Amino acid sequence: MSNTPHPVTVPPNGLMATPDVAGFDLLRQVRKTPTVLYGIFTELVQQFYMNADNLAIGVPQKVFSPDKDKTKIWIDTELRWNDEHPEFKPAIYIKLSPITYSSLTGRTDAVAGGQLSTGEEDFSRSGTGTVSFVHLAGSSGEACMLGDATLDYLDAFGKVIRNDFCFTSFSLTGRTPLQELPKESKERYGSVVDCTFVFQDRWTIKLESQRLKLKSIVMRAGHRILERGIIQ
Amino acid sequence: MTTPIKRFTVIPDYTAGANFVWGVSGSLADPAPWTFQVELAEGPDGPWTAISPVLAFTSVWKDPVVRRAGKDQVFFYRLILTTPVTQYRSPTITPYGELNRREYLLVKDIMRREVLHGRTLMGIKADLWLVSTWGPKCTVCLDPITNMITNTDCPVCRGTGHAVPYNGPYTLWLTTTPSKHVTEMAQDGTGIRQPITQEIRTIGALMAKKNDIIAAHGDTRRYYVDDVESIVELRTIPVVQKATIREAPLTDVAYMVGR
Repeated sequence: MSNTPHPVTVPPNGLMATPDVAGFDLLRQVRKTPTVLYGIFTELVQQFYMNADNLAIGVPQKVFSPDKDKTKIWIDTELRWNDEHPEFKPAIYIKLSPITYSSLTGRTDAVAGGQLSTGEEDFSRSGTGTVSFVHLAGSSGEACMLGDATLDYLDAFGKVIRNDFCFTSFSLTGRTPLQELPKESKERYGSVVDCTFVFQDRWTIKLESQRLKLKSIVMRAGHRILERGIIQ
Repeated sequence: MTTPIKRFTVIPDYTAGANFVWGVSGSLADPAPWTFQVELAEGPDGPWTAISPVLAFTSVWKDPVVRRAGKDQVFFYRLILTTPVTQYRSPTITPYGELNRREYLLVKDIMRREVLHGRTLMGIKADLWLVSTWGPKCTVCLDPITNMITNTDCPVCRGTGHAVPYNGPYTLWLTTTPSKHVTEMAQDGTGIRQPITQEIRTIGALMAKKNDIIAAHGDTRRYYVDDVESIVELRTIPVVQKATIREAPLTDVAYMVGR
């Protein structure tokens, strides 16, 4: 999975001691911006289709390879292809619906609590969205079978995906068996698997003077998104 | 017995005797192999003589012999389809098909001029492969219950669902319009496209249909036929046809056909 830790280098800056940020280099600890979400879901499907043994008997053996010459299937994010004449193979593209944010406390500024003694304020924001795995193929049967394979995988591993990537929930919510798509050199068909996910972002701001000089913003698990600024 | 041969007709051919074109009902599910043979008789009831060799799966045969008959003599043709299950016969047709002799010769002359225009002025020579829309089913990739095609790269049916995916090539002269390149955002949400489409014009001796493949001689590109329009027609016999063609991507199975 993509959640494999990888080393990061944090230069010492005096504001935050290195131990405070050490170990917070997992993908699941990064704020779930659409860029990160695209990466998570694309990688998930690419990993699944990299091994022909993952596919059920009867499903066409379309194996993904990062090598564009060897891959038998494209797996990419939506609006990603800028080929003027793409080499069409069966394809899966990952599409995100608009993400809806809400506050756990009902406050619009996302404040969830604070510590007066230390000058820290905690914030929390919850996000809900739907990811669609759109399967494109030159025949309706192939699109539908690839969609079924993805559906099996995401449904069976829904809980693992939720835990690994720190979603509040991740579940299968919809399946469009077949749809007709605008034709290219000839007809193409689509088959869609929809999953809904909910995540929660939390961060803390520490105010270090009465003039509201901002020193740092620390995400839930130590992910820093801003350093050294002044709120007017 | 009702014949599954749904169309058997004669199309004038300016170079030889005639083109015989036929189609078979898609519901005929007899196993492969299917063979065809064209027979001729001097009366509607026979006796019948085979004039074509036994043809492996195809939908067209060009009679190389110009058959001459006396003033009042009429030839009759029929088609025999033989499958491992049984033998089917087409209805009997006359040599001019749905035309009378004068119209037949008129069509032949229009076709000759059309080919002359292509050959001497601005035409290109091209191969046409006819995609199978009927015939024995693919035994490798079809879903056994729904008959859905589960593999568009199937080595047997090439994504057509039929054991003989294409037949041809048939050589023809065609004229083309300049190609049109429009860069646009694909409506399917994947990204940018620049579809290349062209229009071609050729005689109607062999009517093209959607998803047939066209390759110009000396050109490595292959094209899928899209919309086909019969722009000159006489009593339902196509004389000149026009079609939109779309360039196939290099990894498409279209490039495997005939190789």
